[in-house]
Amino acid sequence: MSQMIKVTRPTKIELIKLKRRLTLASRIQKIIKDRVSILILEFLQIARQTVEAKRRLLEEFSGTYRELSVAAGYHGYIALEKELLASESDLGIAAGLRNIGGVRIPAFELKKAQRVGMGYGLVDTSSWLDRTAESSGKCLETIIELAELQRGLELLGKEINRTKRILNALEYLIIPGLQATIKYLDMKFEERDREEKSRLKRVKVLLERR
Amino acid sequence: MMQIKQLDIVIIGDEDLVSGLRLAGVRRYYIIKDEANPAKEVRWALSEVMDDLDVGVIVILEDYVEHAKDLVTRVRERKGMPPVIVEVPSKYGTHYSDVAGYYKTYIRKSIGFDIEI
Repeated sequence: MSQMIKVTRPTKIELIKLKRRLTLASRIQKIIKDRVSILILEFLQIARQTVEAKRRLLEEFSGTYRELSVAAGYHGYIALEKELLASESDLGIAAGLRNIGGVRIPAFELKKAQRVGMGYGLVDTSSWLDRTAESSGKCLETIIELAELQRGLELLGKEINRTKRILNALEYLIIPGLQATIKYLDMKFEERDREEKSRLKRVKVLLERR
Repeated sequence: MMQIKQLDIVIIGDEDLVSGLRLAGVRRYYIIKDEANPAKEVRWALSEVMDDLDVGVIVILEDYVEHAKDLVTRVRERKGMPPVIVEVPSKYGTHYSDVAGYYKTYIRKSIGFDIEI
């Protein structure tokens, strides 16, 4: 038996109000149910993309480390440091917001600095360094992609949790409560009708006896 | 109206990771020098950048995350637009070779049931 909602007085107007609340609640329940399924669909899609991006990241990083160790071995760490200093640039990400099912999710895009070549000098560097720079650039792009997806996953997960809680409250608490209260009021009115009827009969008998 | 902000990328990692990503052009980085005992440096670097509004993505070495788990969770739970922490593998390989499994636990936690990816 679900908990009844407290009614001040068992009157018809109260019953009408309750019925209105019930239709409203079930309508909201339907909308929220749709919302949850949309969110879950998006969530799954992002989850798949995230797993794929993470896999790619792992692969790319193992390649980059290999190339970096070759390049470092070829140039020596001290010479490499000089090239590294030159290759640093005004790199940033442009962050905007994307809206998925009412959840605002950051969208990142890598903004490369304007520069000619890779920044380091091409005279005394090897093709190993070029290759390393290229693959580490790719790594960075994947990192940004993964960052966006991962944050989206987190935010969507939170939102799904929250919406599900509302849905459960409606489904298991509010709607059954309203239904129980309406049933109780209906029974109360029927009972009152019967009382009224028997009272009338009694009065009739009394009147006839006189 | 969507506003577009310009954010930075920060790297917290060992020499190799930082070198690799510096080649790609990243400028803000923290090199952890004490390889055997990185907890203090990692925590210091992370607390330095986690409240910086100009930081969009923090790239951190997988091995370091366990030293600052509470900080990482705190950043992830925060509301609004906190920096996103991305874990990347070290030169010795990754702890999470099972990528799908790693995210599966996370998915289970947030939507309550398992899915196949």
